Amino acid sequence: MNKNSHVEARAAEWISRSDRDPADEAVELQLESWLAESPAHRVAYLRLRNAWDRADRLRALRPADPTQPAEPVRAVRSRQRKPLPWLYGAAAAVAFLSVAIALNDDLLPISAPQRFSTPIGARETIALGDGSKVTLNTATQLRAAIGTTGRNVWLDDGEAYFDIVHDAKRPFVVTAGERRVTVLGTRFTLRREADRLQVNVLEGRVQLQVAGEPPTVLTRDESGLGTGKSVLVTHRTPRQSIVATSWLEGRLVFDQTTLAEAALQFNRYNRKRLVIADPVASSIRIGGTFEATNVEAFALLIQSGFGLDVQIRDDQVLVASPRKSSS
Amino acid sequence: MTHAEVDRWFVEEVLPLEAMLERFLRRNWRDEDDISEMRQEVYARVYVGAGNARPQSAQAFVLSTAKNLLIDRSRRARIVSIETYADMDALALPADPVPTERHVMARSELRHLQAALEHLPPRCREVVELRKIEGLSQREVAKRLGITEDTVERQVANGIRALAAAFTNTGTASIKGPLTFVGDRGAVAQ
Repeated sequence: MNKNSHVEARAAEWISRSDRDPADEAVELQLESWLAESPAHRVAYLRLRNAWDRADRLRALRPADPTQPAEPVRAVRSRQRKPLPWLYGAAAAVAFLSVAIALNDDLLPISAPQRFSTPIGARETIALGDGSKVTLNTATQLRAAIGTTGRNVWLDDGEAYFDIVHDAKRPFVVTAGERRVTVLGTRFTLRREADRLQVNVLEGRVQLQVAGEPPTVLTRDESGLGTGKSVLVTHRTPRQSIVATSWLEGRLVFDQTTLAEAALQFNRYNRKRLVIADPVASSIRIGGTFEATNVEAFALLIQSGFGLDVQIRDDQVLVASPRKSSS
Repeated sequence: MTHAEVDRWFVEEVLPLEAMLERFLRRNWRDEDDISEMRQEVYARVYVGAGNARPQSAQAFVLSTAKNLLIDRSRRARIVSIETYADMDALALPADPVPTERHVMARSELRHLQAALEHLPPRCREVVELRKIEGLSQREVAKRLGITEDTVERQVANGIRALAAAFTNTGTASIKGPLTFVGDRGAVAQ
């Protein structure tokens, strides 16, 4: 056995061990120190962990036969492990980390919702039991219950991207407050902010309905903004579609955007607030693509680009017009 | 980048390039036995490098790292003519997959998984299916099959390695042969 296959074998043992008993903290600690020993350990682990988590999709093959009583059906297995600090946020393909679950691991009815959430600045993808995928943007809370007869998700706060596997027998319903979004199989994003709900349809058709009102159907390249009982439908340009989905890559895209609006966007992703101190600076328009979680880099860029005064503090980044105009 | 960012970048940007990376290594290195070890060495170097600065293009970074590794290795092995080093550009490289292609990839994933399952040895396959399709815990799998939990744990470990290998191979047209199980080296393409 060469050195590499030895490392790989060890990594597989670690994953299997922690898969056997996800709640065993001693195992987690030992694993963590093994990983810290060498990048070779870490990359071997990440590679195999990714493969093992991707295999969760196999649940889609589970025969959905309600007459079969043999085994109590359980929800998509929820692992109660605490995220390792070094892996925090790496959950895009490593679904187990994304799960902040309040359920215990015992024989749950399949309809019990699982809870998922992301902290500010994080982005995580979860695989649902039916093979669908949901990516949670920053500061998002969501519950999911995938059953044999229906698929239900509640968007409690924040924004998510849905890539839904087609299943005509099980409509996929997202509930956001009083609004419901019903689909069969499609891709779309949803952003909920208090009473507002923004829908961007990327593929297929989406039905948006406020309780007690007739439904609105949105198709590809359309966006719907629901406020109160009304829904405003607009057609997106390709450029606007890029802006609407750039967060999936962790980026903010601005196009003729005022600094005030840009600050609002950055503040969704960072604890360190971007504060634009005066109206003159606030109304400067900018464009470009920026890393959502790197507010300091953005501030330094506009400092050099516009000669603005930038002060970086512990809890905020303050941007103001220059005290003495040098230009 | 922080550890967490590097981990995410590695999983999202680098791992999907695995089939391409292995193709590149195979074209430029004759000893098949070295390929998986070299792939992991490239991964480790790339991981460390990305910790210093996030590479603009994962693909370009992976390939240049692989190229440097090939040069190091051939110097050490005193192999003089590796005429293919300049071949990096000649390799028909796909552009970075655009989001829609990634979704297509996600959709075909179930098929890849099924194909991968079919290549597992029977007992290992049974364990993985109960664990992942039925959603049983390892303990429940052991009970169902009347085997010890230690055996289940071992089979899961084998399954993990075989699945990872199968992902690389089923994802490309360059499958050289059926996957076979070789001792404790896991599944390897022959």
